[in-house]
Amino acid sequence: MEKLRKRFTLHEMVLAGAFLLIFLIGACSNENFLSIRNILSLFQQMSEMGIMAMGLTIVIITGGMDLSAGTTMGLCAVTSGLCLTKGLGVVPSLIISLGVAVLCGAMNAVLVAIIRIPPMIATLGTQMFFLGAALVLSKGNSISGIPESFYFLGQAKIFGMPLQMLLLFGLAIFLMIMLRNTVTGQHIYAIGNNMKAALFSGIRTKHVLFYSYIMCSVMCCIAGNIQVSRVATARADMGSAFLMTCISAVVLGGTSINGGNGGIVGTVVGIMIFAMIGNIMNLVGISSFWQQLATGSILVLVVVFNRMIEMQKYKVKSRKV
Amino acid sequence: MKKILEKRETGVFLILLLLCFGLSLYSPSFLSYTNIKNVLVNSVPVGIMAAGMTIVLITAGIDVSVASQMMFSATWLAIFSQNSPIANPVTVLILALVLGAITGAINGFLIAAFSIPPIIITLGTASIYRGIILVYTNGRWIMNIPKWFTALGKTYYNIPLPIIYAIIIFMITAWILKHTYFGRSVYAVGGNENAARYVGVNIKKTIFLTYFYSGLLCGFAGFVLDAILGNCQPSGSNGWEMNAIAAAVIGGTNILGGSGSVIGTVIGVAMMGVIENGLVVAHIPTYWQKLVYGLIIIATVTFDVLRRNYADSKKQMIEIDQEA
Repeated sequence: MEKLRKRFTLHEMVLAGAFLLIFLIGACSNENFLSIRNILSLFQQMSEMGIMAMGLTIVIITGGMDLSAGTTMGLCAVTSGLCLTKGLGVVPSLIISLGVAVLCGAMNAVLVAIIRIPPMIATLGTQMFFLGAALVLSKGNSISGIPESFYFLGQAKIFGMPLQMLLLFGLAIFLMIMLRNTVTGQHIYAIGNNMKAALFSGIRTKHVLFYSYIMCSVMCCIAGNIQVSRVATARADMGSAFLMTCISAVVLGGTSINGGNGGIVGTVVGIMIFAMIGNIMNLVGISSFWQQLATGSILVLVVVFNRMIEMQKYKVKSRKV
Repeated sequence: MKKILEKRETGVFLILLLLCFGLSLYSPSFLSYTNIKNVLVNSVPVGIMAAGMTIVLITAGIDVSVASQMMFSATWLAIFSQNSPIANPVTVLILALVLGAITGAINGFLIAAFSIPPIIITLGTASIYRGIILVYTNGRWIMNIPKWFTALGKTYYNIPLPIIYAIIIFMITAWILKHTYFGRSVYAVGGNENAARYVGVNIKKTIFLTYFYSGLLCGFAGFVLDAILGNCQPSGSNGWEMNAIAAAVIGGTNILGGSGSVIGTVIGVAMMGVIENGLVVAHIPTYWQKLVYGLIIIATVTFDVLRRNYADSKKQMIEIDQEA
């Protein structure tokens, strides 16, 4: 027990415990839960949310927030959907969609890093703007008739494993290495811990912020394209429902909402927990309205719990904004 | 006179007048009594929420659960008014305030007691409140709200009742902000929290009361919404929290806390209503609405922050001069 306590923090142990508990509940409540088919489809469902949540993790580590992530995903989905139905090839469509994502990220970064609007407010505004842009592009309708050559991204299987699951783990490993072992990654943590100290020690904070927000938007773009390919339609409000779950998963995974610590592994575990909850509810036949209730409750409980641990640890009495 | 001209509210008000003038040239029906009445009545629920949002924003907080709180109240009121034998205008009003008080108190308690960023808590509680009513009603509309209830949202002698409600709420809120201890501590907490603490303001109590009051107004907004519409869609009015925030910000409330006024918010609400109506009058498809709102929010916030940064940089230079 002592050894365990030294190696892992309390939060990591609780997270692992929660993961095992939900896994056991799933295994007991329905015999189909442990079938290989279900587990593979579980990964297939969680990969879109997981990729978006990993992008959000980076931004949250810098002490920021990207509330526009969901609508960025919708905008990118609509863009590539439009390009594909207008007869452009798969590769040009993906490139244009990525370009839109970079523009979205850059717009967020300009507002946050250069004009210095609090990230929550800035991205609250761009959230509406991107949604509006996506609605205008798609004229408020959903775009169908995606050519079959695009289906590989969300429906192909390699050695029996869905492509997007491999993509999820590939990106996770890439981001983990980026955060842990590169200078940029360390700068991201430094900015989240103390923006002023980072600036005074010579870190080009604006560059790093641009990098983080664009990275987040690109992740949303990848998630959006996977979903377009999986369901063969593109809608403006595609990712809007993802945002809450993704933020909850990031926070559940141990990334501090004030920035400065956390990581990709926690986020992936957090997303897995939410995916399992949704999967179990579907298997047992509970309506999706309960999932909304559950997601909100888990977010509030986790944030309060984390805060209570923090308050005990540092004996924080005064209010920190 | 000069003071009035320098105020931010005056500028926004002039833009509003200009907008109305342009629209009335474009379409004469814009200035008709019916159209203006419809614009004003339809913006009453958002306006009431925006009054609460103003106070929240002044403390440098934010409440993105207002639309969910409003629907939480509206849904239970609709069910109560149909099924309960003791339902009458008085009990419905009391229930509306109690429901608003409960949701507001939960928000306020979580934010004040644990010092968690308000946006995270209210994002969470927004989906909890919405989830509860969706689970209970299974997402179905509640039709046929009783006649005596909708009578509270009708027009008598050419005076629409909802507008009277809104005026009362705005006056109470303005009075609270200007003339009560709580109202003055709201400005103090938003302007400089540490300074407020040293002066002896109870920060946690002020923060709690802020969200409590915002919840109370959301409960009342749910009451007005039911009375106006005559039915209730539990999954409806999505994104109205953004309209409330936008109205307050357009009206000059500082998103970083410390300043803002109810009169500005009233002008902001009217502006949002006129823009929405203008898009309809000018035959622009409704899906342009979000784009326009988003642009307005980004532009006003950007302008506001730039102006304040500029003012701050001036201030610091003076301080350095004095030290030297």
